[in-house]
Amino acid sequence: MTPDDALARELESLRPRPPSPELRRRLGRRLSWPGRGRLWGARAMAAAVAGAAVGLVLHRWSAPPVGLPQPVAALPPPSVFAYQQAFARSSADLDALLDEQAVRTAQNVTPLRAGVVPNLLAVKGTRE
Amino acid sequence: MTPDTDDWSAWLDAHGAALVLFARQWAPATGDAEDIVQEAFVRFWPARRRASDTTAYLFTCVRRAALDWLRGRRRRTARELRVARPETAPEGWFLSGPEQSERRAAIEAALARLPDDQRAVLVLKTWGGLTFPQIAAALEIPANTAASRYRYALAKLRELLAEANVP
Repeated sequence: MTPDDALARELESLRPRPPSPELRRRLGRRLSWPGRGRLWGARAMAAAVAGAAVGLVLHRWSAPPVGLPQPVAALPPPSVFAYQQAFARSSADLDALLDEQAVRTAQNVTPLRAGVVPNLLAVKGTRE
Repeated sequence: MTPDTDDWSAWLDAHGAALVLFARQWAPATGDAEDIVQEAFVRFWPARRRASDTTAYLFTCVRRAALDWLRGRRRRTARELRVARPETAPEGWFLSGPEQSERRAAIEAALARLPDDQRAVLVLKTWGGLTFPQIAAALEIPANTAASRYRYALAKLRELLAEANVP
């Protein structure tokens, strides 16, 4: 046995002081507290509810107001082929298609404001 | 040495004395050392299953908590420290017995004069019961360095005890 081995054995024979009962009590409080996990769960739940509420408010602000009519895409006019088909069937079919398209076009036209045309004529008249 | 149980008090029974002694390498007062051990244990307990070597990881937690404690202590002024905890003479490191008390006191004095890095390895090996690979993991140093520091520590300790000339 070397002198260092003898010293190592002598050191091992010394007993370090054990931790105090107070440390055990404090650790018991910190590690064994049953509400610890539940508290984190409650915090996570509260955060999720708050996030959902904020998301809902933002969604309502960005959505179009309820009650206004949604814009409807205008139907495209009949193609030349559609007119040819209608004419091939009968002249009445062609008339019906033309009438239908005329009504549809008339609905999309913005009516002129009263007084616009006479004023234009008046301007033209003064120049002459 | 490693308890195969999920009971934290069994871990404290197995390692508590060595943990407090290890913490006292940074915090000489027992109260401060126990604060460090408490903080380390609270960090260690939920993360212990992820560690490759659980016992070494427990001592790593103590070292990190001790370094955090030192950083926090430096931030506070000396006046605040006096108010928070009055200075008292630190307790001895080892349990006192009737026999060879002079020799034990000489060993404690010699241990206190060892370089910090050598003393940390000696404490982990002798009273922590850790192997050199475990000490290397706990101190985040190579295993060869841990082994050589242990040899240097024993040689230096023997030299210091010879100087003290205590039987």
